[in-house]
This record gives sequence, C-alpha cells and structure tokens, in this order.
Amino acid sequence: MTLRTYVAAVIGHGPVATAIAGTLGHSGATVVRPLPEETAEAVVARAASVGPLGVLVNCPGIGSSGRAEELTDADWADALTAVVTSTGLACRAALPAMRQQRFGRIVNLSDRQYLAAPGNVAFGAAAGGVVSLTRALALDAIKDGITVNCVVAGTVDVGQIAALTEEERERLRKLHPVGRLGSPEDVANAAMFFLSDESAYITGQTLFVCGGVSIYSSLSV
Amino acid sequence: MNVRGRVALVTGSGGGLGEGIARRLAAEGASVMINDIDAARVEGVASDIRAAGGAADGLAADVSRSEQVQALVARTVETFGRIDILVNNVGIAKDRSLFKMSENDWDSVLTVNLKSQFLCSQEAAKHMRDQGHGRIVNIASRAWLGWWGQGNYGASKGGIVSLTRTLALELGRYGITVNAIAPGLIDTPLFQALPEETKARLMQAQPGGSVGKPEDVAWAALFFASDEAAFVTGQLLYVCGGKSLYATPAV
Repeated sequence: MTLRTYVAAVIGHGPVATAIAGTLGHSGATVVRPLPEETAEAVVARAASVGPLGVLVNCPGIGSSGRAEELTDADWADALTAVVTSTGLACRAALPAMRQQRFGRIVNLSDRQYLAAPGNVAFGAAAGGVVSLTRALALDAIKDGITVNCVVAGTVDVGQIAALTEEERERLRKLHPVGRLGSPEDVANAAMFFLSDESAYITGQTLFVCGGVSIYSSLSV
Repeated sequence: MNVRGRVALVTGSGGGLGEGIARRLAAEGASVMINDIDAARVEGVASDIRAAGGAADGLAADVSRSEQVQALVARTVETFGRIDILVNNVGIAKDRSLFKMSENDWDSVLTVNLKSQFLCSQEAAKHMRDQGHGRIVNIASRAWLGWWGQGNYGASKGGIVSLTRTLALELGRYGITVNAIAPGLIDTPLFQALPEETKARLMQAQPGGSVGKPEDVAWAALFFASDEAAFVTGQLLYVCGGKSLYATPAV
C-alpha cells in the first residue's frame, strides 16, 4: 500500500490508537501523538506545524456510562464531548490544511455499541454520532481530495475485556462468528486500508472490524 | 496487505473489474486462476500476467453450472495446490422496466450473478475449510439499493449481500471470511460504451464529480483477501466515491 509523506495526527491514548500510530510510523509517516491533557484540536495544530498534515485518525475513548435514568447531566455531556465533539473539532482543525493541499485521509474510530448499547446509552449515542459526523464530512470534503471513513471496532481483547475471567472470555469468543476476539492490530489494519492513497474513491463508509458480530444486527450495511 | 504465496480464483476475470482484481492480486504475489466464459479472453489475461512475471493459469467455464464450477475449482487446486481466495466477480446486466422484463431477462441475470456465487463459494469453501484458511470476496453493486430498470440486477446484487452475511456466519469457524464490495460508478468497458451525455450526467451525480477506476475496486478486494483482514467478515464496503451516502438503506 502507498502512503504519502505527510504528517499524521493520531488522537487518543488507548491500545488501538497506539497500534495505528505504530503501523503508520513503520510505513514511513511522521506521527504526532497527544501530550497528556492536550486537546484534540491542539494536537492537530501541533501536527500541522511539523509539516503538511495529510492524515488524521481519531480514536476517542468510548467508555461506559449507564442506563438513561442513572445519568447525570454531566455524564451525558462528558460522553458526547469526549467522543463526538472532540472528533468533530479535530476534523474541523485539520480540514483547512487538507483542502489547501487537496489531499487528506481522515479515519474516525467508533464502536459497535452504536448499534445498540443497553446500559450504556450515552456512549452508544456518542458512537453513533461519530458515524453520522463521518458521513456528512465525507460529502463536504470529497471535492478537495479528502476522504473521511469510519472504522467500527468490535470486542478488542484489551483493558476491561482482557481483565475478564477465562470463562467469561470463552463465552465472548463463542459469540464471535470467527471464534476469537479482536486485537488492536486488527483495527489498525482496517484503518491503514482507508488511509492509503489507493482509497481515494472510498469515502463516507463505515467498516465493522468485529469478527462478524455485526451480522446479528440489521445496521451493519 | 499481504497475499504473497496465496492462490486466488477470480471469476469473470477475462476483462473489466475482474481482470483488474486478478492483475492486482498477481502483482502482490498471489497465484491467480483466470476465468471467463470466453477462452480467448482467459488466455489473453493469463498470458499477460505471466509475461509480467506473475503466476497465472486460466480456464473458460460457465460458473452458473455446477459441473463446470467443480472443474474450475479442481483445476485451480491441481495447478497451484490449494485455493485461498475466491473473488466472485462475474456479472451481467439486462436492464428493463417491469412491464418489459421477460422471464429470461430475470432468470439469466439471477443465475449468472447470484447462483454462480453460491456454486463457487460452496465448491471453494470445501478446500478452504480443510485448509483452515480462506477469503471469499463477493462483488455486489451499489445497485442493490434499487434503481429504475434494474429489478433483476438489483435483486441479484441484494441477494449477494444476504448470501455474504450468511456465509460469514457459517464459515467463520473455519478461518474463512466472507465480505462483499459494492462498486458504484466505475470506468469499465460498460461505462465507456455509454453515450457521452449519459456519462456526463452520471459523473455529475457523483459527490466528487468523478468516476472510479477498476484499480479502486481491486484495492478493496486486495484488502478483504489479505491476511490483515482476518477479523473482518460479513461486511459490505461501498467503493463508490461517496454516492452511497445519498441512499443507504433505512434498516
């Protein structure tokens, strides 16, 4: 695959963001990662000062909130801010430079919880917001050579999932048509596909990297 | 996106999209079996790939007939020792509005476009299951969302989307992934043959104002066929310059 020699901003602190940044780095991109407490917009601005910003990857932390009636006003606002607002503002910050150079690749990470997140309504809604944001931005940006796509991660075997008991993990594996849980590299591979120069004719799309679990839901097309 | 050393069968690869996909897989180091109904086209593409340093064999076959599908898959395995990748690409169109569509228009399009994918997947998956590895890539179309005069074509492509999801569920446990690509407007011989004003109108309706290339679709096929896409299955990816955003199903 071919990647132009642009600067890449990879927003997010989790294992998936780390895997994407690592893969981009191995492919020769100059990768800019967030400093502690740095806002997404500030990372983008710093990346654009390093060189021409060609790639933006947003990996918002999609956590757990709770059932609707349990949420405080702040819980709602925090989930939407951390996921949708930060992603949207990072895109807004990156677009002028990308439009000027008539090239850009943006990948926004979302989560399978957007299809339905019982007990996690705020983050589920926020994850859905990333998909909608991606589609609208794709139409706004296509004439300037910029593609915007969404990778929806399924169950990735890190963090809370990796901390489950072996029995619980086996139950989860059995729910996956491919018989295993995902890795950060699985998600990174799909992100790299969209980030390639060669994905110029692919925009506004949502690709599930979930071992086939999305097939149980109607919205995966 | 690694397919080096893999063996790929691409149906309908004597020209157009299928040829583009076969050439890309061969360029990335896969051995490819070329198939078309026309023997001269099969030999043309296979010898071109060999001349470029790739590994290719070819067999003319009608992939909507089970005995010919069996022979095609058997030949692939005989020649290259295994079959890792199946790209179900072959397709025809016979566009007619409902009142003008004949029974034959319906049957031939459904048979060539959809039944062929069932037959080829069934035959190839037997080997993939035994190997514990396989990649099936089905070429659908954005037309499955519905278009005037495409009752037969759209239904065949919608059937491909459904088939893809079911096969993904059934075959996942064997290390076989099944995904579909929905190309939009692509600069194939079929597009080239359209009147200039139709081409201009179609391009104007594109969000980016341009038409895609067979290489754009081949790139997506390469991704789904690659080792790196092991955790991606049952998915439909549009390669359409964003046109799908105007008409995704309200499911």
